[in-house]
Formats: sequence, structure tokens, C-alpha cells
Amino acid sequence: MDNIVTIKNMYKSFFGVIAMDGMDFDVRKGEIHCLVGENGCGKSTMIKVISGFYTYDRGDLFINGKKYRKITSAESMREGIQVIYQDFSLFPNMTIAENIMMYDTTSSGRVMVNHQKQVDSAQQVLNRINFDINPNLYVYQLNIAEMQMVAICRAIAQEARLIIMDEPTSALTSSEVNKLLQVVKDLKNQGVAVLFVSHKLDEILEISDRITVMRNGKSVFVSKDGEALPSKEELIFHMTGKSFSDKRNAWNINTNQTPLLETRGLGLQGAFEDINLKLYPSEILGITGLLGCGRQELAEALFGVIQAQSGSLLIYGKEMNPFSSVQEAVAQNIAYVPEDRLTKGLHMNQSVADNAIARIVDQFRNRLGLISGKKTEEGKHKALHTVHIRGMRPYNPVKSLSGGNQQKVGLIKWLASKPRILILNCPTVGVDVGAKEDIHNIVRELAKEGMGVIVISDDIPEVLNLCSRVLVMKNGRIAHEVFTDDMDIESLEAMLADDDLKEVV
Amino acid sequence: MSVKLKSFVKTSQFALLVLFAGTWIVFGLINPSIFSVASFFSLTRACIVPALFSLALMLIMVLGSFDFSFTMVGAFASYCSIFIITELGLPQTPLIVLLLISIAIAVLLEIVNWFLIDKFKLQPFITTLGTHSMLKGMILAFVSTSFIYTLPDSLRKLSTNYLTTAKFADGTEAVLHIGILAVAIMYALVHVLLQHTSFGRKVYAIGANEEAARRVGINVSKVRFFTFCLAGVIVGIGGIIHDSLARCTVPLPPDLIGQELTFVAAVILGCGANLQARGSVVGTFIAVFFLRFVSTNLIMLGIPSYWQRMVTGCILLVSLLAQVRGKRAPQAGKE
Repeated sequence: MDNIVTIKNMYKSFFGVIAMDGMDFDVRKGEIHCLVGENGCGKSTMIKVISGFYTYDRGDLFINGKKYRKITSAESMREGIQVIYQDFSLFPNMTIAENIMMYDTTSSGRVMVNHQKQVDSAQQVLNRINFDINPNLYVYQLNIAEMQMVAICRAIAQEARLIIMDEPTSALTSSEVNKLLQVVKDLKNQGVAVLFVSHKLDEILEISDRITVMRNGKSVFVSKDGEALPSKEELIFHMTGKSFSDKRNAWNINTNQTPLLETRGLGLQGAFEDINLKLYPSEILGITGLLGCGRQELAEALFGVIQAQSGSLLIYGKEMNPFSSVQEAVAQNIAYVPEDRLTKGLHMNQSVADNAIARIVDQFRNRLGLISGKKTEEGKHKALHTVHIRGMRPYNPVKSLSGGNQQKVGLIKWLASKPRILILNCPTVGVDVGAKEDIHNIVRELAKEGMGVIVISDDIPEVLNLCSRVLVMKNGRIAHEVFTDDMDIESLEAMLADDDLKEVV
Repeated sequence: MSVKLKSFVKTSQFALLVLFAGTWIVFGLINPSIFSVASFFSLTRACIVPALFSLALMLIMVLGSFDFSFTMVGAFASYCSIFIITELGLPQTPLIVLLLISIAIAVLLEIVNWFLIDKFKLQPFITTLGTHSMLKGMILAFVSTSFIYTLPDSLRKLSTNYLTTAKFADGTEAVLHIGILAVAIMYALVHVLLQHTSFGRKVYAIGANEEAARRVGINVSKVRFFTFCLAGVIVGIGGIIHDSLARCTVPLPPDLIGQELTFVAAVILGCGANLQARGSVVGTFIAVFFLRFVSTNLIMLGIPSYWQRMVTGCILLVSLLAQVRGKRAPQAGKE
């Protein structure tokens, strides 16, 4: 047997909801195996079965050739299976060395901890993936990418034979992603298999030895040994059962009309300077650039989260000072869906319906100024009908939804206030292909109705697909203006990368 | 060694120590007798009980949990054990037996806390608020309401046992009470336990992220059980020493019950339980002395007691602000 994990005809359901419906799957020793599928297709369930957090209903599970009817997480770890969770499961109050050697501490049975030995062993692990960092630093001092490396080191320290990475790149910048992919390749060379779960098809095609596509709890496609990997379009087809065209939009905006939003020489020290942009009605304007180019700050300044220091704004042709508060921006009918919906955009423990009307709850006051229950219910009903969310129950908390659906709730919330200008910051981070397409369609519909939309994103295919005009930011300035109908992914990426090189020099 | 010293200088415990030293000098200039050894001895005596109780609370807070009932548990255990001995008419009972009875009762009560928090996933603060109130009623209803002024012989002896003495300038004598040995031993043990044993590291791990701790295979329930038991041991001992120093035992000693927040303040001030649960035994120790030093000296300067409370509150808030700043600073470098 040279499979680490083999799953045959596995079934698993939760309270009648089928998560795995006759799944077949295997991971071989020392291979990089990618698992793709839309949110809710059963990927996470399968990972949790392999790592011993869930039991399964029917089927067979073999690990290292041994049949397991039930596997505990401790047994799974003993078989050399390690999961890098999206939250990394690290201990911020301990040093890197302590985190890496945590299993050793908990399971060695020794009473005392030898700190020096711990640091030495941790250093050896760090060396194995060429990660140069002081093992005595505390984990709370690290950034996301470094924490991820520590989590990987912890898995290696446990003599992992299979490392499962659940969407490891969703929070990383592009250079960090490249570093991670290099580490994955190094691991493979050292004989460690990696099961890589990701939404980003480009990465997957770059590193995979094999790809399994999962849909509705079944394996619908497995790439064969020795054969070329499928194209991106084929993968998307397998994932969704539909084919999406990679269409471009021609820029056919009438420039004689008054722009909804215009900025003149907008600047903020250390973030951006001399920003001149115009957003016309019905336009979807893209703003892209590398992390730290000022796009984030610009978005926040346009919504009054932070205040620009110089320049001025023209809203619907009326000149005004840069917003000093969110209230001022809201008063101008501007809506902003932030990048991190978990912490900034939504009330995770509140119900979907309550979130949907959170922006407009003031409209439901009766004559006494109190919130009217009846009006509120009507409002919720109306708001939830603007965007379709599959399988959503209005009174369940938002956190029960998948990432893509949460993002839709974020959209609903702002659409309920009927904005004329909508600013979307990385609207589809961590969202699967199907939900992404849904969100794009919603945005296109909104633009058709006359809304001006600004999409800020570093997802180049998304920007090209959605926008007709794209501004490329670099070092806080708008470096290029691009019309997407004569632009391909490679040249736009090159435009960003070129800038990147110049920065290094 | 110098590296270790350097890293200690950077900690918030060191900052606290500097603050303490500064305050000491300021008060000392107003009242020079504060610089005397005798003054230090009497401060030490006043710190013995708060130090033990704060240590128990710190353990539980490092675990990421909370116990509001710990003072009541200690008072309950010591009052019951002395009450039993007195009722049985055995004033000759040796100290060790008294301690063991008290520890047994305290551990049992902390196990009740553990059971409610661990098995029913109850919110620790509210749960222990409940057990605190329940014990308060139980001791009066089922045990006794009377004050016991005649302590067992061993406790009376303990109350006058001292290591050494020193004289104030005016000739009054202050003693270094033997109870400080108990404090020193307990603190040393807990320090070694938390910093140098795998059990201690597990406690920190659970305090940081319970789910992650489970994922690395830590038996969270078990570690929590032993931590609560250990807290029970400490307050069991603390209760007996408290009664010995007070030279009597009462069901609801006013310097413990109702003073919980002072102990919480000491733990937080000593960085024993900031949001990241980076607990510190050393810090708690310094903080207990510092808070007690400030309040004692405010009394000696004739400042009304409500000022003391205000000062304690201010110190706590300022230290929290400092800790939050210290925590944010490295994070600002993120992204």
C-alpha cells in the first residue's frame, strides 16, 4: 500500500443534511494532492473525518493500510496526519519554540520541561523549511504568514507524513503565497504528503501532483497520473457543473454626465497621494494594487473611516471636504462592504434577518419614535429578497452561513439603505467560485440600475471580469488606468509585478 | 544570565517593580520610618494572606477561567475545620491535621466549581458568583454563625511564631511572621509548576486557546480539574493561616469576603491574566505587596479609606491601559 489515506464510498450526514454522499478519495505518500470544491461540498467534513473529529456513517477509511471504523484525533496524529487549521490553533502567549514543540510537551510524559532543549529542537525544525526567525519570539508578535509557518513547523515536529492545509493562502499576500508554495514543495521532497485545499485555482495548478474535485459530497473528477492537469475552465466546470465564460466588458460610459464621485488630489500622508478618480453612474470601477499600495486606505477614506488630509471630493457634482466620519459618507448615500466581514461588517451572532436591516433600522420607527415590530418584519422580508441566499434561514445567526453567503448578507445589509455609490473591498476573499459568480452578477445588476460601484481587489481575474476600467495603484499613487476589454490577466499581473520589481530596486 | 536579566527588564513585571520602588521612595520621604526593616516586616505580615489568595486566583485566571468564590471557599474550609475540632473538643490537634481537613474541604468545593464549569460549560464568572453566594448562606445556615475566639493550640502558637524581629525608631517591635515561609514555598512551587513542567505549559495553552489545546491532544478537562484542585489547596492553607493571624475565626471574615476585587486587581496588575493569559507568579507577588503597601501607607498618612479605594482603582486602570498598549505595539507591525 502506498496510500496514506484511502476513502471508499463514504457517507456522512448531519441531522438529515448529507455532507458526504459516496465519496472516494486517496492520498499517496509524498504527493501534493489538491482538493477543490465549492463551499459546502463536503471538503471540511472529509478532512474532519480523516483527522478524527467526525465519525462517518458508512464506507471505508484506510490509513496507512490499516482499516479504521472510527478514528480518534489522537490516533490520526499518531498515524502522522496533521491539520493546519485556518486559525492555526497556536498559543499566542508562548514562544515559537514552545508552540512548535507543543506535542512533545503534552505527550512525552516527562514532568519537567527543558527550555533549552526545546529551543534547539525547534531550531532544527525551522531549519528544515529554511524559515529564519528567532524561536524565542512570542507568537502574538508574528504576522499571519509567520504564524502559518510556525503551525507548519509544529506539524513537521510531530513527524507528519501527511499535512492537510485548509485554505492556507487566503490570508497571505502574493509573495507570502510563493514562499508557502515553496515550503510545500520542500516538504514533498522530504517525503511528506500535502493535502492542499484551496479556492485559488492558479495556485492549485502550479503545485499539484494530482487534483480531486468534490461536488455535493462526491468525487466528480480525479486527475490521472502522468497526464496533464486539467485547465482552469475544466476545473470550474467540474466544481460547479456549469461553465463560466471569461467575458470582458467594454467601457461604454457616457463621460458627459456628472460623475457620482470625483476626487481631486486626495492625499493622506503615508497612505496615498494625489488621487484623481471619477466614478460615473452605472460604472464598475476597479482599483487594484499590491498589499500596502494604499488601496485599503483609499477605500476607507472614501467612506470616512479615516480622513484624507488634502484634496477634495465631488459627490454628485457638489464639492466638499474629505469625509471626517462614516456618518458623513452614509449621509451621501455611500455604502461600503469591508474586506474583513467577520470583524468589520457583520454581527456574527445575530440573525441573518437582523443583520440585513441593521443599516436601516431607523426607518422602522413609528410615531412615538419606537421601533415598530411589524414594520421591521416587513423590512426584513423586503431586504432578504434583494439577493438570493441558498439554504438560508432568516433567524439563524450569520455565523452559521458559509463565507460566500456571509458576504452576500454584507451586501444585503448595505443595499437595504439604497446607496448610490457602493464600495466593495475584496468582495470575494475566501469565497468559492460559484458564490463568487453570484456576487459578481449581483454587482452587475446593481450597476445596470445606475449605481456606481468601486471594487477594490487584488484578485486580477475578478477585476478583469467585473470591471470595465481599472486603476492600478502603486506606492499610494494611481500608476495606470487600464480598460479591460483589451487586457489579459498576464499583462495586468505583469504591470503589478513590474512595479514590484522597481520597488525592490 | 545577562541575557535573562535583559529580557526581565523588558517585562511589565519589571515596570511594576520600578513603580513600586518609586512609590516606596515617595512615601518614604513623607514618612521616613517606611525605610526601616521593621516597616518592611509589618508590611510582610499584612501581605501573607492576600498573597496566598491572589496566587490561587492567578492559577485559575491563567487557565483562562475565573473564580469569584475562592475567598469564600477558603473562609468556609478553615471555619469548618476549626469548628469541627472545637466541637469535638480536641484543642491539641496538630497543625498538619487542621491543614489537611481545611484543604480537603476547599478542594472539594473547588471540584464543585470545576464540575459546573467543565461539565455543563457554564460561564465561570457567573457560576462561581453563584457558588460564592451559596456557600455564604450555607455556612450561616448549616454550620454556625458564632465567632470562635479560642483557636486550637497549634494555631495560637502559629500566630506568634516568627523568624526574626526588628525595631521601629520609637522602639516598637515588628516581627517577620513565619507565614511568609508558606507564601515563599507556595509561590516557588507554583512558579516551577507553571514555567517548568509540562502541566504548567498545558495550563497556559488552555488559557490561550482552549480549542487549540484540545487539538494538540491536551485533556482540557483533566488539566482544569487539577488546576481547580490546586487552587483549593492554596486557599485551604490560606484560610487557616488567615484565622491564625486574625487570632479568631468567623464565618464571613470581612477582610476576605467582599475583598475579591482587590485580589483580582493584584493578579491583573501583576500581568497574571491579561487578555493573552500570560500569567506571572512573580508579577502577582510584586503586585500584592505594592497594593498593600499603598493602602497601608495611605492609612498611616491619615487619608480616608475611600481615597485608598480610588487609588487602587486608578492603579488598576492605568496598568490595564499600559498592558493593552504593550500588547498592541507589536501587532501594529502586522501586514
